[in-house]
This record gives sequence, C-alpha cells and structure tokens, in this order.
Amino acid sequence: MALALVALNGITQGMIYVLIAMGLTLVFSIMHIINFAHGELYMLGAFALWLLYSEFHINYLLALIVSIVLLFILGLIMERFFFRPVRAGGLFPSFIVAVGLVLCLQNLALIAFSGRDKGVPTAIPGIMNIYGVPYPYEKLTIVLGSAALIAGLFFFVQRVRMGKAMRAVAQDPDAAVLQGISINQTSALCLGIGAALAAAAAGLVTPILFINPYMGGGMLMKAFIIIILGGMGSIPGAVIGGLFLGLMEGYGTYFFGAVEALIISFGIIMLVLIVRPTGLMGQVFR
Amino acid sequence: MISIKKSLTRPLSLLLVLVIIVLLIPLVTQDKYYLHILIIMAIFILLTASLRLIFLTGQPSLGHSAFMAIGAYTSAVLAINLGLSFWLALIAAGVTAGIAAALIGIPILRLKGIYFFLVTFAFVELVRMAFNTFWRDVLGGPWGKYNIPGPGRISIPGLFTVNLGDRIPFYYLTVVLVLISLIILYRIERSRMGLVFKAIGGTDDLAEHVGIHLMGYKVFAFAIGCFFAGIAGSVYAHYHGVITPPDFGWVESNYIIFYMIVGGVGSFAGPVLGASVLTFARTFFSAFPYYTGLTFGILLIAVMMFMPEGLVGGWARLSSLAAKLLALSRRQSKGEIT
Repeated sequence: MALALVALNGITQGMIYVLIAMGLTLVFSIMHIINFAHGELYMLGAFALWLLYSEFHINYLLALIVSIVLLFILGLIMERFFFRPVRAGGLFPSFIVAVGLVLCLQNLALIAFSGRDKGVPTAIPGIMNIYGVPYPYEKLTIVLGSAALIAGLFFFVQRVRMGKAMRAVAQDPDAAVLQGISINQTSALCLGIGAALAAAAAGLVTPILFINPYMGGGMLMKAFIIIILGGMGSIPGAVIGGLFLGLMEGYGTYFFGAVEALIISFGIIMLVLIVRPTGLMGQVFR
Repeated sequence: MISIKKSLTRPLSLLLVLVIIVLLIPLVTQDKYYLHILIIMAIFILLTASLRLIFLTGQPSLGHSAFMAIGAYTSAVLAINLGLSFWLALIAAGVTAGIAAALIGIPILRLKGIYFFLVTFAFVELVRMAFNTFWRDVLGGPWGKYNIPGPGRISIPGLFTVNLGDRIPFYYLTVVLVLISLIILYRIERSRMGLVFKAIGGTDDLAEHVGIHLMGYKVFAFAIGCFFAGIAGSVYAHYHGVITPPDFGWVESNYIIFYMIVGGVGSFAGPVLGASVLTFARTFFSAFPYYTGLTFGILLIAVMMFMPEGLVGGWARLSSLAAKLLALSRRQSKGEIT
C-alpha cells in the first residue's frame, strides 16, 4: 500500500516535471539554446499565483489563468529583448545572458518578497480514496490539469499552424524561412509558451508546496535531468522523462533517501550523456 | 567559440611593473581586509586562467568547482587526518585533482559542446552532493572540514622565522604560487602544444585529419587545467580554514566562467583581468547580497550584448578608437580636413 502511495505521488510530481521539461525542450529544439532562466520563470509563476490568489484573494482558477498569461508575456519579452540580440553568437552568449537573467530575477524576487517561505491555501480541499490509498483532490487537479496542457501542446504542435511552424523551424530553420515562416515570431512564441507552461506547473503545484525565490534552481536541475534522459528537443521524451523521474525520485527516496535519489539521478544522466547523448528519443521533434 | 585572435601582447616591461606593484602592496597597506581581497583575487585568477586552458581545446567545462573541491578536500583531509605538511598536501591536492580529471575525462571528453557542458554540470553537482553525503567521518558531511591548519612556519636558522599562516606572509605565498602557475599556463599556451590545443578548439575534425590525437591532447589539457584547480582549492582550504560542500557547486563554476567571459576569452590576460575585477567587486559588495547579485546579472547581460569580447576586447576597441580620433584631430589641425 505504501508503494502504491509512492507511485501515485511520483506520478503527480512527474506530471509537474513534464510541464516544465516540455517548456525547456521546446525552447531547445526551436531556439537551440538551453534556457537556464527557465527555473526562474517557474518561480515567478508561483509568486504570481501567490500574489493574485493569496494576497489579492482572486478566485484560484482566474488567478492561475492570469499568471499563465503574465508569464507568457514575460516569455515574449525575454525572447525579444534578451535572447534575440545574442542569437547569432550561438550557445554561449545565450547561456551567459540566461544566467544573468537568473541572477537578476532571483535577486529581484528576493528583494521584493524576501527569502522566507510563503504558503498558499489549498484551492481544492478534500481527499479521495483510490483503492485504499488516500489522494488529495488537489493532486488530482495537478494530474488532470497537466494532462490537459500536455494534450493541448500536442494538438497545437500537430494541428495548429503556428505549432507546425515551430516544428518546421526545429527541423530546418533555413527551409522554414523559405516557406515564409518568421523565425523571430516563432522563437518569441516558443519562449512564451514555455514560460506559460512553467507558470501553469507552478500555479498547479503551489497550493501543496511552500514557495520561495530559490525554488527555481532546484527545478531547473530536475528539468535538465528529464530532457537529457528523454532527449533534448523531444516532447514525447519530456513526457516519458518527467514521469520516469517522478517515479524514480519517489521510489528512490522511499528506499534510499532524498539526497541519495538525486545522486543516483545525476549519475544516470552522466551515463546517458556518455553512452547515448541524444537520450531516449533523440532530437527528433515529434 | 575561442577565436584564434592574436593574444594581447603587452610589453614585458609593463608586466614587470605590475608584478613589482603586486609584490610591494603589503608595504603600502597592512590592512587585513585588503590583503584578504587580494588573496581571494589571486585564487580565482588561478582558477579562471586554468579554466581557459580547458576552454581552448573547445571543451566548455562547467565542472571546475568539482576539481577545486577535490583539491580542497584532499588537502584538508591529508593535513588534518594524516597530519601531512602543507606543502605535501598542496602537491597531493593538485595531483589528485589532475588524476581525477584524467580519469573522468576519458569517457566524457568524447562529448562536445552542449553535451559536454551538461555532463560537467551533472558531474559538479554529483561531486558536491557526494562530499555532502558520503564518508562523513572523514569528509565531514554538510559540516565539511574545519580547523584546517595554515602552512606553518619556515625558518632560516639564525636569520628569521616566518609564520606563513599570518596574513602578509600568506599573501606572498599565494602571489608567488599563482604567479608561477600563471607563467606555466602561459608558456603552455604559447608552446607548440598550445597551438595543438587551439587547433583542436578551432576545428577538431581538421586537426584530426592532420594527425593530431584528439583524445590524448584533450585529456592532457583537461588534466592540467584541473591540476591547477586543485592547487587553487588547496590554497583556498588552508586560507579559510573551513570548507563546506556549498562552497563548490555549479554556481561557483558558473562564476569562474563569468570571470573568464567578462574578462575576454580571446587572450590570456582576459581571464586574469576578469577575475581580478569581478572578485574584487564581489568581495567588496558582499555586504549587499541581493543587490550584488542583481548588479552581476545586469553586468553579465550588458557585457554579452555590448562587449562580447569582454573587457580585454573592449579595451582594444577603445584604444583603437582613441587612436583613430587622435589621427583625425591631427589631420584636422594640419588643415587637411575641416
């Protein structure tokens, strides 16, 4: 029974990881940069929700939607003013800019909100019973909400014009330009969507967590683990990787302890990078 | 990424003057705080310059802190648990870091670019967590190693006795160590082997076609760079007297890369300059942690957008601009142009 509980919690946590990893892998496949500032986007999403829901007492769902929109806009701004000017330089300038952004955003949050933990009241109280295992409705919301967003992203990428444009840019930027696709617009949209996904993840998970300005860094590391495992640039890979990490962390912590589980995770990704750098599903953007 | 530009060649005399100034500083100020900043600067100059060697071969390593940690812990454990002298511990620290680098380098140096970057990221965090969790009776776990002894006394019988643990003698010790290391690194970079490193960093396929054994040179460069990281770690450990796992992580590795990039990767002097300026700023403003971080972030973004060659590049551009303006004003005064 305890193992079933671990599995349920692992899947719940895994879904959150998937949302964050999807945003990161999306940005990598289209913009060919690793957005080190992604963790801070997650953190800002959490604080946006906290502000709206806990401080201004706005309805939870509304607060969630508004914080997603806000972070989407922030993603657009980030691409336009920080990543686009250095796009030509390749990997390194964007890395430096991203970490510069991390320093700025994290310290701004620290100045504005202080480093103390903050909590948000539960949005959906109550616990349900799954074959004898207690499972809060809040966590069910996380799983359902994440699943909806994942499905939404798949649909967007497969059927919607802008989404297909993003796939085209990921596969072959030059050919995409020849087809009349604007790399600028696509990149901006891509980062916006990534930020929105991070905000969604944060908004969903904040009611069951404490938040502070440092939460971005840890999440970023987990996101790296996932996209390396699943394959950078692959959305299905992010899904598999996220769920895998969630479950592995759950069982790892249960059997060995939290830090040991993390060490094992890092060891695994080192091995994956050495043996099969493209991860499980490679760089194919599906 | 590392362009094969001409290194900024300073006249030897200017360099000599700088060295003399550095050596004479304790005559001007005996203030412990300023000497402290300078010692920290020296340690990070060594870290940054040694990282540059690794970057020259085209391997962007985020793992430098891990080898600093290996050096620091090796030195601390040998000094405390085995009672070895500082000098032995220092050498052992460097050698251990170098060997560890060679061993880990063999599997990971096959990777390039972003993959190498990520694997070193994983490695440095793994090392930090390992030092935090395992062999706590020797490594000290989250509490780290404390009461690390200083270098101790040296004496020339009949003349004088100097306790190297004191601030001023330790300053000289650090300066001399770092100077010697910098000279070694510079000579390596200017040697034929350095040319090979740059060739590998520039286009490794072509280098291989010319008959250069990539892995051998890459591992060697990695090992040498990390050797000096270990040395720096040992000096750091014996200076502070306390080392804890949070001192070494990907964040610290990041900072070393920043110092290098802000200083300018194109030349040997760049990392030295970058490390000096930024560690000075960082230590000086450490009283305002949040605002320091914010300023650093803004600085990084600004440098990347407006001065990607770093301070050294910016200086070169500034001086060439000044020369042009001077020539222009000369022509104007001669009446050639209005």
